[in-house]
Amino acid sequence: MSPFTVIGESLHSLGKNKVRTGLSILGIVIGIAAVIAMVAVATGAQRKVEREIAAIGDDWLTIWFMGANRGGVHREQATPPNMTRDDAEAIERECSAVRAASPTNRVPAQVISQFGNYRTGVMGVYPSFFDIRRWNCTVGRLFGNDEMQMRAKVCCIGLSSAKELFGAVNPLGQELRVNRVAFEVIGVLESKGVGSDGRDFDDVILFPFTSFQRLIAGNEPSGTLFAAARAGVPLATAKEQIRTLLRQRHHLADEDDDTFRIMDRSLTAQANAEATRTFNLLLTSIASISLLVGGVGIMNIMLVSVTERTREIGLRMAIGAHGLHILAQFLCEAVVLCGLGGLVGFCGGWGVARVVSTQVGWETEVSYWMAGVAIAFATAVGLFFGFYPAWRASRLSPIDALRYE
Amino acid sequence: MDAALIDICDACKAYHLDEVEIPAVRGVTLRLPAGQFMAITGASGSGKSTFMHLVGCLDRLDAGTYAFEGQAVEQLSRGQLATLRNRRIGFVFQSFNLLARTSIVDNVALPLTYQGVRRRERHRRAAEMIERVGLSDRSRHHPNQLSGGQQQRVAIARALVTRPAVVLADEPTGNLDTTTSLEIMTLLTTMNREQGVSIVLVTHEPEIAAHAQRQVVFRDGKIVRDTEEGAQARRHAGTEGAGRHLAVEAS
Ligand SMILES: Nc1ncnc2c1ncn2[C@@H]1O[C@H](COP(=O)(O)OP(=O)(O)OP(=O)(O)O)[C@@H](O)[C@H]1O
Ligand SMILES: [Mg+2]
Repeated sequence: MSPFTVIGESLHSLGKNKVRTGLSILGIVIGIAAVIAMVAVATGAQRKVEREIAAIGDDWLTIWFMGANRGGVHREQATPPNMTRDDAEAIERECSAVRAASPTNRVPAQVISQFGNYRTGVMGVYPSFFDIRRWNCTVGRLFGNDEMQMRAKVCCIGLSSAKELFGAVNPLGQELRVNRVAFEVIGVLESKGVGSDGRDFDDVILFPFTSFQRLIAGNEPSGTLFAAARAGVPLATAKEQIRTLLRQRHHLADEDDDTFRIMDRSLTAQANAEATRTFNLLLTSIASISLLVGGVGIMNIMLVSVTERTREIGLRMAIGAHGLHILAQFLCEAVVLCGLGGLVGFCGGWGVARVVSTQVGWETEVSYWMAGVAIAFATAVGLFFGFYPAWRASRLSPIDALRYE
Repeated sequence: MDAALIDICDACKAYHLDEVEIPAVRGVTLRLPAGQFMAITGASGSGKSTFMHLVGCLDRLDAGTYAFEGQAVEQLSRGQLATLRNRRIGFVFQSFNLLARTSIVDNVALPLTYQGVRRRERHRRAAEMIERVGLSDRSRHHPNQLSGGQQQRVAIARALVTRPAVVLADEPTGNLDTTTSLEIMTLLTTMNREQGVSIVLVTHEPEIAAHAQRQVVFRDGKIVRDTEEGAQARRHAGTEGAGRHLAVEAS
């Protein structure tokens, strides 16, 4: 008996009772659909995080000053009041795990152009900041060390800021004024979109640190330092080196607490990974429970079917079906039933994911391999839960089955 | 001595209901030569159906021996019995036992699927058989669209499609009226003559039994009359004389 004949017979006998077939796979359909929809949402969220990491990188640290130590110990020597550009330069020079470091300073300011004005935060940075935060230019160029040295009155501008200030006009070569000082826009930064916290990365105007300190911030001390790890070096190593160096530079005694904090980008990534793992665990348990319920439903319907068709089984055995034929027939019915459930469930889950995308606005992603996994999984459920009823059918004695009323 | 198609010797079969033993077949000896058309009659509960199940290899003997075409049936496994039934034995039941919502061709072709015959060949042979029972125009129909007599013809086609050595028919006309019964008997007689297939038929009606070459009468699980003298003589040598006056009674 060829497999095609077996499958054909299964389809035929399932087709005899379409309503029941439909109802009996409902459990599997709902289970698979729920899993597909959840995986779609999870994958969508994952993609968003991945895009953000690709846009701004996840290999950098921020270091900022926290103030004097607590603990009631009064100290004589004056601690440097803040993180300085010297600290940044020392980090880049002396920490082997650090690829680049930049001091930054950010102040709120009214920015004015010929076409408009708005209030935003403006930033002074070293050219290495572009490397650390992966900023590139789409139009024009980034400022370099020459401009730093010469305290050039130039700036690079993000897309959102460009829109605010210049509208549809090409900002390149245009002037913008901060504190009544005119700066030339020499580069437009490529778009990085909106972060997972809802912040617009493109609302940014970057100035050479030196010009910024003198002309905008008025020599206000540097705020946050940025540093990026060398490729292949764990961020934790870089962090440890920076901490040691800064404690030394800031003359902290062994028992003193840090006067600064180092925020690790990868901690955010780790938190994300942790959340993903938890979510996956939740997903797997829901999937197992729903498939278990669906599988028991299939087993139940198959047992009913075997009982109902006892005479048919007896007849088949009388005219020459082996136990194995009967086993194959019923097992195949269960598997086809579940496979069908998997397919329908996949389509249902896909539909739900689309509705979530369009109505709720969450990003979702359904890939085709998920259809394969869904059907394979459902089929496995069918094999597992269909075996017992099929085995029972195959063990019937032909004469008892024929006489069954 | 020629090997008989069916050679049963002292067959016994009892049922067990709650510790109570109900003997149904109590020492039956029977030889059926190939090509013979035999009818079994007897009162209800005399063990005819039980005996047919034994002959059809659907059930096993409690005691005695059974050789089918020279092969000792007791030694065959479940699977081998299934293969034997599939290739050498055809069944016709009182209640037709056709698969519902399945076309006539597929019903007739069903035994061939268990032989691994390909679909096209299956359908060709089924169609041929359906033509021989005169239902060619109904082959796409389903059993519930057919009359009882037509359904039984389909069942006969199904029993014969594998070209078996013997067809076992337990009250094939039990659910049919007289005219239809006659048609079925004519069909079986024709098949017996043309294809040389042996037929063992169980019936309650003497007119039906009269179609067969040989009549056997059961009573209380034993053969009490057999129109074939040789067989009767052999049995007399082995067992009792109760059969004699029963045979007289019946005549
Ligand atoms: N499954 C069974 N369990 C218990 N006893 C049975 C079973 N089948 C038959 N019997 C008993 O065995 C005996 C023979 O039954 P069987 O069906 O062979 O008779 P029969 O000659 O075919 O009768 P009928 O003409 O009514 O069909 C009867 O006494 C019956 O009650
Ligand atoms: Mg009977």
